Amino acid sequence: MEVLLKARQSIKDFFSRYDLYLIPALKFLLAFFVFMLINRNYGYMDSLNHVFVVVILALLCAVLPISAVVVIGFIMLILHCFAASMIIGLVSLAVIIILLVLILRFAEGNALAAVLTPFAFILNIPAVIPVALGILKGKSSVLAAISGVILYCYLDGLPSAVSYASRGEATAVEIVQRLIDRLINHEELILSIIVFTAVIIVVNIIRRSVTKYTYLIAVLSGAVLYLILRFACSAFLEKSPDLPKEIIGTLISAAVCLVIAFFLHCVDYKRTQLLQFEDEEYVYYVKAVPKMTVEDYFEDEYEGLEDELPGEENGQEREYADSDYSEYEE
Amino acid sequence: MDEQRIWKMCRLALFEQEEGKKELTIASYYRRDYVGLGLLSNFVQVTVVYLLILAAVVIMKLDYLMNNFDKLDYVTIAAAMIAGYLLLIGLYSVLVFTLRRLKYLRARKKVRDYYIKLNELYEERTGDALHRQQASSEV
Repeated sequence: MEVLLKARQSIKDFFSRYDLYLIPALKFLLAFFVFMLINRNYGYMDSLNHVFVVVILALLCAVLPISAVVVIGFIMLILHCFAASMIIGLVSLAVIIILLVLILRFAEGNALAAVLTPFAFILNIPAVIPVALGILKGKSSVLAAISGVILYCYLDGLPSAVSYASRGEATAVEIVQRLIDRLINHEELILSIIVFTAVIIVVNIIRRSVTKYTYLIAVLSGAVLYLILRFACSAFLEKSPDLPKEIIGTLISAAVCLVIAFFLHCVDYKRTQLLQFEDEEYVYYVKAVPKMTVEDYFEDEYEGLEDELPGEENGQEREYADSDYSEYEE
Repeated sequence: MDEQRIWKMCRLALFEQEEGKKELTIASYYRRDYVGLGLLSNFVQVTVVYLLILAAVVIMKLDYLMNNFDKLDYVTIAAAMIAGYLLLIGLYSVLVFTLRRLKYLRARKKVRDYYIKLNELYEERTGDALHRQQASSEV
């Protein structure tokens, strides 16, 4: 346990020290992963289905807010669908607009979950979405999860519709009918919406309760509840679930969520902030460094500069501290 | 340099440039304008979505509609369509109205606190300046 705590502290220190570079790097990795999965599963447009393009788009996401992954992901999906067939592209565009307007616009900051859900299903770890949303976000993230399930059910029917359309025998109306029919009658639709909603709410309630191992209990109970509900709903809807697949997938999901929870603790810190303001006499450029790392920070960054501080001629450099930050002012 | 004042300026700049950016934008509107804009954009969005859903329903039932073209009760269909639209737009309008109002009130409270602190800082500064002026005139 001590080793784990030390590791956690060192990761925490590392994150708070290099967050200016680490956050864009993590955003890049996430975007790269999502875009590669989109290309791998629905890569109908050749010019977009290339690692080089994915790297450029991921680099763009690294410097933009996290919602850029969602926007670019949706645009990529729509472009791939248009490349497969004009009518499939139009239907995909309509489905995404409906999702955005009716559900996703109320799921503030959780839209990424909607894009990740189809890939969690494809990777056979769907439980990771509700459990992770339960521990990371609030109950309003249910909306993002529902959108994700609907998106998955739609995208699941896409390859068959594309092959149907490519035969050239089907009319536009038949293709649309096939796509909508697959979406409405998808076996996962109702089942997953019920299970995801229940798991997110229960995990969130447990996570908010103050106990010693709240994250561990929340993740494990979420995983168990997911399995129980999944089997119960399958029995109720007279469907036969793939037992080993479901259990292994849920176990992996629980492990992933535990890692997320562990890192959540690690990076639960205030970020370094760069501020600029002025009064009548000075322009202040302030780097507000989280207090926990400030000693190390000054040891490394200003080693050997002690003699030069404070500079009285052109400007002054001083250290200030409050409860959250230590402000280093120039 | 007054360290206490610089600390306050840092806190205010942190709110202005990072934590309270969104709140400052929201509070720059009047409440009616902010809620009204939300409702207007909601009206356009829901109308477009309703038309898309309607188109999907028509395509799904196209065979039935074509076969029973002359037997359909168009008045009932039109009434159902209008009722569906009114229900959807009503539901989402209430939702948008409530959420926007809450959001505005929360943002307003935070921004009010920010301005109170900003004002305190300004008064301190002006007080200091006056004090200095008085001292220099006495000298």
